[in-house]
Formats: sequence, C-alpha cells, structure tokens
Amino acid sequence: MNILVLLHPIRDPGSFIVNRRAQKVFINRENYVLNPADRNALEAALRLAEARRTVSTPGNGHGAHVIALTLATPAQAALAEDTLRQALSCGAERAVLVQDDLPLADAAAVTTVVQRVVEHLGGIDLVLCGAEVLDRDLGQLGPRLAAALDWPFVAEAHQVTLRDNTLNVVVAADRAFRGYEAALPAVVAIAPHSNKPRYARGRDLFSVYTQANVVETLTLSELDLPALPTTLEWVGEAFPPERELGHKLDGDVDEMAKQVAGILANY
Amino acid sequence: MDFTFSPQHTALRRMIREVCEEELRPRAEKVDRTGQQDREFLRFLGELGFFGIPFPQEYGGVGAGETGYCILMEELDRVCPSTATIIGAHIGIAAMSLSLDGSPDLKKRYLPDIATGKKIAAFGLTEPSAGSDAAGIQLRATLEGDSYILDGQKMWITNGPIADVVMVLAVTDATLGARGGATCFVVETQWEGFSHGKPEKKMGLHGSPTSLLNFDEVRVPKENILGDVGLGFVTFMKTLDIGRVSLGAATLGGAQAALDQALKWVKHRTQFGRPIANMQSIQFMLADMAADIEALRSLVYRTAWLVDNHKPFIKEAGICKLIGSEIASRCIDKALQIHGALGLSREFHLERGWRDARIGEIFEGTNEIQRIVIASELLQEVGVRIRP
Repeated sequence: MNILVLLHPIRDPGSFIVNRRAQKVFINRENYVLNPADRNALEAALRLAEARRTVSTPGNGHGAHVIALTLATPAQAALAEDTLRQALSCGAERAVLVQDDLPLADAAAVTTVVQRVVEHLGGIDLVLCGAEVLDRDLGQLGPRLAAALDWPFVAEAHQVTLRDNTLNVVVAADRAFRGYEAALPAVVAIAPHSNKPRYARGRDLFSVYTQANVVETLTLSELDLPALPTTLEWVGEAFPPERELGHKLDGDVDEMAKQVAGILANY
Repeated sequence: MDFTFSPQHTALRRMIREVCEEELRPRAEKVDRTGQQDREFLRFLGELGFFGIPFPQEYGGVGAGETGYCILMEELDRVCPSTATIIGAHIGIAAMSLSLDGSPDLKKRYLPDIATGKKIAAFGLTEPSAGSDAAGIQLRATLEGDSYILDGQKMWITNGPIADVVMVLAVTDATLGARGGATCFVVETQWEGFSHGKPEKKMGLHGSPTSLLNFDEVRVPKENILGDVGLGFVTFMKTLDIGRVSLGAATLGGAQAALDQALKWVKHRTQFGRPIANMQSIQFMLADMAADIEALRSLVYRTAWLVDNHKPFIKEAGICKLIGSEIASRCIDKALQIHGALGLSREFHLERGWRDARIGEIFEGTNEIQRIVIASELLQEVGVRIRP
C-alpha cells in the first residue's frame, strides 16, 4: 500500500509581523517551517503504514510505504529538500520533489501537478494533505485533486484508520464527530492538531542528512506537462480593508431574520 | 573558513529545540520544585538519542560528535539546567571516559545501553577530602584473584542516586599515588556492597540528583577495568579536558535563555510612559549580554570543531568552561536586574536560572583549576612546565 503525503514549507508565522498602519510586512528573521497541518498528515500516513505492516492480509505482500511530495520553484529547492529530508527522518520511505517554474499559490496548477505525480508514480492508494496551508489558499487542493482523479474525498479528518481496503475516517463537525467510510483509492485532508506528530530520532536525522541523493527530483517535462492551467493572475497586493462596525440587531428571532434579509438585499 | 553548521547538525538542533520547547519546558518548574525526575520521560529522550549524541552509531549513539553534543547541551540548558546536568554528567564525563579509553569489549558490553539511556551513568572521582586535589583520592581497589575489592566513598556525585553504572577512580597502588597508582573501574550499582546516600540539598539544580556513593568491599571483575591498570588518572583527566567544551555549551544555553527572556520583557514592560527597551541603561545591559554570548558562542563551537578534527584543544576547552560559567552568571544576573522584583519572584522562572547557574564556576574543575590548566598550556608553549 502506498500513501502519498503532500508537504509545504511555509514562512514561520512567528518570524514576521504584519503592520497595518505601515501597510507593510516586517520579516524579523528568515525562518521556514513545515506547514503544521502537513505534519499531522505525515503523522497520519506513518501511523497507517505502521498499522498496515502489523496486519498480514492477502495482497499485503509489498508492505506499506509513505511517499513524501513537495513542489518547489528553483529558488526554494534547498528548502524543499530539507522539508523532504525531515519526512524521511521521521520514517517516510521515499521523497519526491517536483522542481520547476511553478505557480505554487494557484490551486488549479498545483492540482494538475499532483495528479500527474500520482499517475507517474503509479500504485498510489491514498493521498493525504493538510486541510489548510497557512500562507496559501490550498484548502481546496483536496477536493480538486479528488475530482481530477475521480476518487472519494474526505475533509477535515481527525482520525483515519484502515480495514482491508476501506478507510474509516472521523471528522469533527459542529458539535459532534461524524464517521465516514471511503473505499481506496481516496484523498483525505487531515485537520490541523488532530494528532501528535512524532520527532525524528537523532540517528535517523544523521543518516538521512549525511546521505546524498535521497530525494527524487522531477521536472514538469518529465511529468509530461508542457503547460499548466492557471486560474490566478497576480494583480497587486494590499491589506484587506479595516473591519467596519456592523449592525446590532434586536428583537426576537423572526424580527432579526427580517432585518438580516433587509441588509442583505441592500448589500 | 566555513562557519556554517552542517545540514545534519542544523536538522539535529531543530529537532532537539522542538523537543526541549514542547516536552521539557512544561516540566522544568516541577522538576526543580520536587527534585524528582520522570524516568519515563528520560527513557523517551533516550529513544530519540539524547543520551548518546556524540557516540558512534555502531555503539548505539547518534554519531554527531562533539559539535552535536555541544548543540544538545546548549539547547537543554536553555530550558532545564537540571535535566541538562543529568545528561551532561551521563554523556560528558561518565560515558565519555568509557568511549575514550574503554577496550572494544568493554564498550560493546556497556556503551549501547548507556548511549540509548537504558542505563544511566555517573562519574565517580570526587571524595570528601579530594575535590580540586583529585590526586588525593583514597578509595582503594585491592586485587584478590580475578577481581578487585573496592572500598571507600565518593562524594557530590551527579546522578549518584539514579545511576545504573558508575565509572570510578580508585587507588590500586598507594605507593605511587595518583600517577601510576590509580585505575578506573566500571561498577554496576546493583552489585553487593554499593549504596548511595540521600540526594544532597543544593541551592540550585534541584532536579539533578547528587549524592555520596559508598563502596563497601564491592567486588569488581578484572574485565571491568577501564583503560589500563595504573593509568586511571590519565583517563579521567583526558575525560575532564573534553568535558569542559560541552559544559561551555551548556553555560552558553543558560546565557542565551537569559538574553531571550530579557528581550521579551523589555518590549513588554513600560515605565515612564514607554517600553523600557527605549532606555539606554537597559540597552547597554542587553548589548553587554549579547557581546559576551557572541564571543562564547564562537569559542564553544570552534573548540568543538578542534575536538572533532583531532586538533589540540585543552587550552581552549579550559577557556570555554572558565568564561562560559562566568558569562552565564553575569547574563542571568543582568536579566534578573532587568526584571526588577519579578526576577526575584518564585512564581517566575528567572530566579531558578539564577540559582542553577552558580554551580558553573565550581563543578567539573573549579574556575581556579581552569586558570591553572590554561596557564599551564600557555607556558608550555614557551617552554615552562608548571603541571601541579
């Protein structure tokens, strides 16, 4: 069984300050971290693989493998390599880097690349991704990818277990937990803080980081992708407008509902 | 000259820092207040490699060398000096003596369990009447057939109450004194005749258990001699020489923690209508702390480089320990001053750092001994021998 996990390095949220008055982002120190929800996704993948390895079922002859995937532009190549080595140190068996001129904030483009990687690698049973990426609007990656692959998709998973070829997923929704079943292959978005990611052991870190060539690199042409579809065009950057004072509503529920309808109608 | 850390050391520091922040920091206050160490937690650290960072992977270590070990000590002491001291004594002097001079067979028998933290090790040198005058030790080891009978006491031994294994220096030939007359032994604490005293009540490092060790006719097989008969003093001095580098790294961590805390406070605390970061008196204190820390940081990691590259390092190591301990005390004291009354409060963590730092100038060779070592190395360079 092969589990693909998508990892994004992001600028450390603690390393910069957004100053609205100066209309500037002040970067205090150059520091990058692995997107937190992706760490939870990697942990979920590693646990699934471990559980799978302890169960011997027919067709389980090849064991279970976690494949880490990162997309990067040439400028971020070293950062992406480091991210992938972290995953290998924690127990992922393979690390794949797609390095090219990529519009990394464009969900449609990223989806196309990941879909091609899934097809190129072959034999992928499950794709796990973080439910949110802190510096990009890629929460939509999961459903887009599932649609492109025509696989089932489960959002905001808190717990994922596998029985034979069926996934049992627990999702937190409103004030309850919901259980879902999905047949493999599938795409699952893992909720942030849904598990405690493991630390890499010192000896594994040292082994991985002293070996050369532990990351497999692919370019767009090797993936048969001469051009990428884009849905975004960068126009400029600005801060969102100041939040204005809203309306305070009084009365019973019906009266308030009428007032809300009136406001929306005039919006 | 390339002053960057290798990718593997950078990755190692990142993992260690995260473990220290997420797992160790929440425990530090309780460890100091109760003096109790959680053995489960130490075992968890051992699985990650925290108890064998510098030792080769073939012996169960991480293989990160002296540089990796200094990184570990800096990060640990930044968060919990008590835990740093437990691990520091375990790796830096106890296991280190075994790694430096143990026979391959002795290393194979003991180092894997020690490097993974399954067994805790202690270094037994100091005695009630032999501190700086290490040559004045009196614990005797008498040959009887295939074993030695050890009889005497060791005092102020870090990890004494929790050790599974102790590296002990004993007198095997009283006529030769320490030079030629002392031998190192690896003693298992569950052997008949070994016992330890109550944990000492200290000003600081409450979570680092220290005690008297009693050897009451303990039978130690000849196979457990560490190094050569009669050359025990050489082994122990070699071990102490190298132990100073990582101790310098530990003091660096303590100093850095003080500066980090001071920087947080001066942004936040306002007096006379503005943050105290705007006051020159504060700025000068911060600048002085940073200057000391930068100098120490360069020295410590350069000395670790000397060790890892098999170059002479004894003088630099002595300087690491000497100025490191004094810099840490100075920086922590300045940070305490910057916090005013809050620095004295036991509800806040600064006073713990202040109490924990004082030992730096005393243990593992007092700063007076360090000055003798440094002067001795200096004068040897110009042809004057002053070995005490």
